[in-house]
Amino acid sequence: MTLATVRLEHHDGMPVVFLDGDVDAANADRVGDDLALAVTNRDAALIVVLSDARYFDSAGINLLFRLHEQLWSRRQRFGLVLGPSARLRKVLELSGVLTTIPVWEELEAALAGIRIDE
Amino acid sequence: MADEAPTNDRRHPDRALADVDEVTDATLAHLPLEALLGELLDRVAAAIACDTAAILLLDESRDVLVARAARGIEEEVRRGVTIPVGAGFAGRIAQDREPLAIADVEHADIHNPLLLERGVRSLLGVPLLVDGRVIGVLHVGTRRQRDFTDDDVRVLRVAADRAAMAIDRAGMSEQRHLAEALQRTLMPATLPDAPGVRIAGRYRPVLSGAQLGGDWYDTFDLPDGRVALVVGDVVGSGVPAATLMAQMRTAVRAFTSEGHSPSEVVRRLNDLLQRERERRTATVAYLALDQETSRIVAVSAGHLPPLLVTADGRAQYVDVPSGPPVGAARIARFREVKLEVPVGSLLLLYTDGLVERRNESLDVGLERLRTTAAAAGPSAPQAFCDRMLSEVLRGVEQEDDVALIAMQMLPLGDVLKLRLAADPQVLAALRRHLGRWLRENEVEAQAAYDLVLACSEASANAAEHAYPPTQGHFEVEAERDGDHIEIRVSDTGTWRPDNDRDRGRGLILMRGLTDDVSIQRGEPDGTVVTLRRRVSGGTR
Repeated sequence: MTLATVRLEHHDGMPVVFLDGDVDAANADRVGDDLALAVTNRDAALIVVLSDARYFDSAGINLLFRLHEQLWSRRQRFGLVLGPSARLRKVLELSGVLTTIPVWEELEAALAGIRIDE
Repeated sequence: MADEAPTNDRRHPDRALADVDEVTDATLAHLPLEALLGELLDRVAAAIACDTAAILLLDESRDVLVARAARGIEEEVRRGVTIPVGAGFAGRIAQDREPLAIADVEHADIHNPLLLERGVRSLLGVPLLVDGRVIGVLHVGTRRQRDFTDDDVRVLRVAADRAAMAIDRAGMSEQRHLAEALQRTLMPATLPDAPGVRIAGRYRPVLSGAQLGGDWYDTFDLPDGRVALVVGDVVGSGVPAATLMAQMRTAVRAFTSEGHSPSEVVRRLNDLLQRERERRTATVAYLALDQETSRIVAVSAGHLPPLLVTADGRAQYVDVPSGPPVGAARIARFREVKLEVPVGSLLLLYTDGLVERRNESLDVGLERLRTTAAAAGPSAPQAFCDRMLSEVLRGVEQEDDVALIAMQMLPLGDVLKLRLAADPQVLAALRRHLGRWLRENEVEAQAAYDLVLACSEASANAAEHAYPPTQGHFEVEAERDGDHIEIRVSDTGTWRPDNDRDRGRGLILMRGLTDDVSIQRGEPDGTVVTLRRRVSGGTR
């Protein structure tokens, strides 16, 4: 019933966060904290699945960019999973997320791809 | 009550009885309990010529007798003397529920030091009984040794009956006042204010006789912009039920704000009751309304089914597969059910006091409510609730408390006008309101999504940047203009110059999601952001 739910899973030792619901000015800080906590120094990368997210306004977009910068500075990689019909696609495209952060359509592909990137 | 009170100073037994009996006179019956018990003790002491008289009441939670009123040994009350049930003189009377006389305390086990300090030699006591249940002890004492007679016992028994009645009545009304105050405090002070959603709740206690129940209703905004509707009924009555009701109500709000789903909220209520020392149960119906889609997620824990009254004048119970009442089973499953409340219709939640009558099957009561509701039709919730209370309960003595909550979905109309607090927390609800309006105006899904997000972005600006923290309001207006939708977001605050890159993304989003964005800054303050987008579908 919160605006957004953040669920952490580990796939082959890699943290994968499923982020559903809405991210806006009301909860962006909190969601940002949750995402930052999902990844430890030992992790090579973080994958965030946005396929079931609903609304992201600029506060949500900013959160993705900030997280990307944070991970980059710690030499950790960041990838997104966005289904082909995800509602968020247009917003991520408009705001330049799709050209900045690697995006896969499937989690399996992301798990494989983010390692090949190494 | 002189020490040397000779036997012939005692009243004639019949006269003494009459004296004590007078305590039931109308003039005395309305006295506060303390005054009544004092008066009763004075009369008892005079009637059977004794030096001390005391009433002790049973505190069931500690299994002790506590001095409540006394004559000759007033200190007993001040000191708060307690006597364990079963111990000493009074304790034995409470345990055996029989009169007890002690001619000489020197040869007896006396628990109360005050009696010895005051030089009491002889004692006579009787239990205070209500429906055969001990609620306390009345005893008298003399400093001179004395053998109490059967007449003395008779007088004391009459006095004990009077006292027991008065205490029971006063105790009930005390408990009742407390429970009623609790109930009223706990009903929601404000109802969610969502456009196109009307909600009303009613709580009606039983007005006479039986004690209060643990019924409640509640409604509040959820963090994700939906609206919660809750109705529940704690099994039992009086203060214990009312206080548990208060805990349940608070727990529902707390579990909800922690972000739990409806079924999880109910599961946690069940866990909460499992941890209670005494086994307690309650029925609960918890509904989360998404006003954007008119869809409800419902969970029932042994509660009666919601009643849906549709615009065509039909009323039918909605099948919500129910789990057990919360508290009844350690392991229980509570299923979420989706239901739809079409625009124009009304949904009623209620407690069993509305439909259950003694010597009548529940089905008859449910059918009575259903036909009454169908005849009323989906009218304004306040009037609807009042009508159900007056018509369904007409001509019967209400036996149980009733809590009701009714919710009606209304069309939003051609123009949507919202006035919202300048607080980012309102954005989620705003998106749902606008989403619903666009849907009702037959705007296709992608365009609706884009407009909602653009409007939310503009509103986030108004809520976050146009005001000093937590003050002011902003307005959102939406209407169709030919084949365009136009949305205006206006605030009266001061637009803060915004050169940070993050905020710049907001404008990019608004531009990308609509066909036209214009920002008019007022002098000296106030800003209006107008968003326009061409839409297909829906002719007007």
